[in-house]
Amino acid sequence: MNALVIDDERSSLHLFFDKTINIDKDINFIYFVDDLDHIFSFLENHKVDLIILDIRMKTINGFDLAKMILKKYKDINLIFFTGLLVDETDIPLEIKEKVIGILYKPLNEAKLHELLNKALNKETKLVVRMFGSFDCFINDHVVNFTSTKSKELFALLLCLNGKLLTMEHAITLLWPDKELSKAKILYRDAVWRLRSTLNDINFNCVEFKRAALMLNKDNIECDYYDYLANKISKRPERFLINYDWSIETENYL
Amino acid sequence: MKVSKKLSIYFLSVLFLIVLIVFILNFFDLKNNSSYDKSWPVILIISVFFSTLIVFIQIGSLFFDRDSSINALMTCIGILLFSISSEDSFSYLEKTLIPNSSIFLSSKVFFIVVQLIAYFLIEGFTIRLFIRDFNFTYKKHEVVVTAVLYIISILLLGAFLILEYIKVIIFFYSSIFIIYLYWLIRLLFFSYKIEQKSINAGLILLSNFSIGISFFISTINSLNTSLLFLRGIPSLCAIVSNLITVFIYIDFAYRTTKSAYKNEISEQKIKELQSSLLTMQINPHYIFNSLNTIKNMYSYSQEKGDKGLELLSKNLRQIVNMSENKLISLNKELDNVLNYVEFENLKQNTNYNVIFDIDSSDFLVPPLSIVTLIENSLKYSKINEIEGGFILISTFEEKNYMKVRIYDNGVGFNLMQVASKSSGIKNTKERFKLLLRAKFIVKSKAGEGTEILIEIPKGDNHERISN
Repeated sequence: MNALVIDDERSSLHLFFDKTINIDKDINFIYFVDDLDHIFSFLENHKVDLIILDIRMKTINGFDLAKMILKKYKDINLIFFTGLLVDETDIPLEIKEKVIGILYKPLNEAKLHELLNKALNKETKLVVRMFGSFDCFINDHVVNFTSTKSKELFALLLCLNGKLLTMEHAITLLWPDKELSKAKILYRDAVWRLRSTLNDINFNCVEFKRAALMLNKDNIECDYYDYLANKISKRPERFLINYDWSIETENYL
Repeated sequence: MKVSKKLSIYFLSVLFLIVLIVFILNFFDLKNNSSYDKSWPVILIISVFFSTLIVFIQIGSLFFDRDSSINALMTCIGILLFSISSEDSFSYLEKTLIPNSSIFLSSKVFFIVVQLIAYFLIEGFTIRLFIRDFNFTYKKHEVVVTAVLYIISILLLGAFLILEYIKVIIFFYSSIFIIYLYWLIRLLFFSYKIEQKSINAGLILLSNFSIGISFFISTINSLNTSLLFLRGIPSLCAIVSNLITVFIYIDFAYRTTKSAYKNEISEQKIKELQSSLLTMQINPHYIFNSLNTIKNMYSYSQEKGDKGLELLSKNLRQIVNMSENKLISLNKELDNVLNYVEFENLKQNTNYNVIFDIDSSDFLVPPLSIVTLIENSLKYSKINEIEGGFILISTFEEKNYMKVRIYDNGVGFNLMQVASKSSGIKNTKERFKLLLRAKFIVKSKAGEGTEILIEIPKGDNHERISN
């Protein structure tokens, strides 16, 4: 896939180049400043599938440039890379259908990967490691949970392999020494933080019910699930070494 | 107040005065009095003239205020009264001038049809008023009951008017009785849905109900002359109904004008508050300190520096966003809080314990409102110097309110000294009050922590999530 990157600031193009140089995706990036003649000359002689462009540029507005390009070349997808705050209603109707997403400056690599996957029609997968220390990865980046307990709650949910996790069960395992009323507050805190983290990475795999959680395993690649499905013959390490409550599962395995 | 509404109120009042006189004369049965015979046609002509005028003014005013259900309702009531008073006039002329003229027969039919249409529209606009302006919400079975009652009332009224015209007595009493029963059921059905604030909804029902009684009693009246004592009741019901209608109209016009004026002032005030908060948030001290922090983070690692940069840009974006939106979802605001606290932890190398006890989040709050309160709490509570220090943000739903409670077990402060000086808290309090009519209570004592309780009344805000 050929992708054009257009920005009036060369420093922005350099940064983009640095961040995409090691991307393991089938995309060839070509960089342009806002020089319309060069851009259209390239478009006439090459097939381009994706354009990543700034909105506020010196010679032309990004939306207007996109409209001009799409008039002639209808099959190009768009990603806007901007410092402005963009609402859906700001995007002109003529190009709305082709806009994959908005990338805000300063560049967030995880978000860039997410949008590139979308452009390549690749489904975003959450890669989970449960043997050894528990970690999650999305678009080759570690998922940062905002608290240890929300991370632990997610681990417990994954451990249940799609079964319902009730508040009572979670409290018993995660806050065994706390008084019930305090434990409920801490549970709600962990749930809210988990929801916020999953929203942030745009991977909403948990159904948040009243006093219960349910995991949707679609698009989750997990070493534990692979082991249960006999896709891995030998367990690499101990199961969820960070958490005491995992001992039962560890013994079972 | 629009000119057409003012005029229509004046003429409406004069019309009702005329109709009042007509009905009082009817009540005292002065038709037999010869002097009355001379004045009767004059009074009728005047009432027809005024009622015609009011109908045209009301129809005209609909062009200025198309969306007002109550305006449409008043127009239809005006048409109904016009047709009744005109029908009365023509009946009188029919009896006294040319008894057998076919002109009067066809005009009677015409006015019966007009009454039916006006009544049909009154019912429709009343239901619309209840749903739109008084915020009635209907469950499925209630929609079915309302529709059935509506259809039955149209059919029965049509039957009543036709039977009255063709004078078929046999089924007359039963159809009248059913109409009366319909009015009663309708009153009871809608009454249980009226909340005490919708006093006008109750009055509209009462007004419609008295029209119903008026129809019922006047029919018995015309058939059975021995029931003399009932003769005055239709007039009384009609008078009461008309007076209530005028009252509702004047009250509604006054309240919408007052409300429009208040809204204008509120809009201005909200813009001023947002602008002042923007100035407070984006100040050079904050920006340069933050940049300094980020530079420091880069000296540790690229990753830490990038993280700091991302948090600062999110913070700045949410500040800019505030000027675009008056209200945002609670979840978004709490994300802003999380972001802010993370950045503060990074800048000050602290680990503030902020707990999100979120039970309900399906409502809107002003942007950067809770962030400002947390900012204050972090500044003054000294929770990082206390063992087990924390800030607890709780949200929960009660019968008529959504509540947000921010509590810290920090050092507390003297309310009298600090609250009046804290422009952040003042700004937040004002925005909650203006945008959501929320109550804002601050409790604090030195050494005992601080609690802020925000009570947001449920209403449109509860259902509408903008982000």
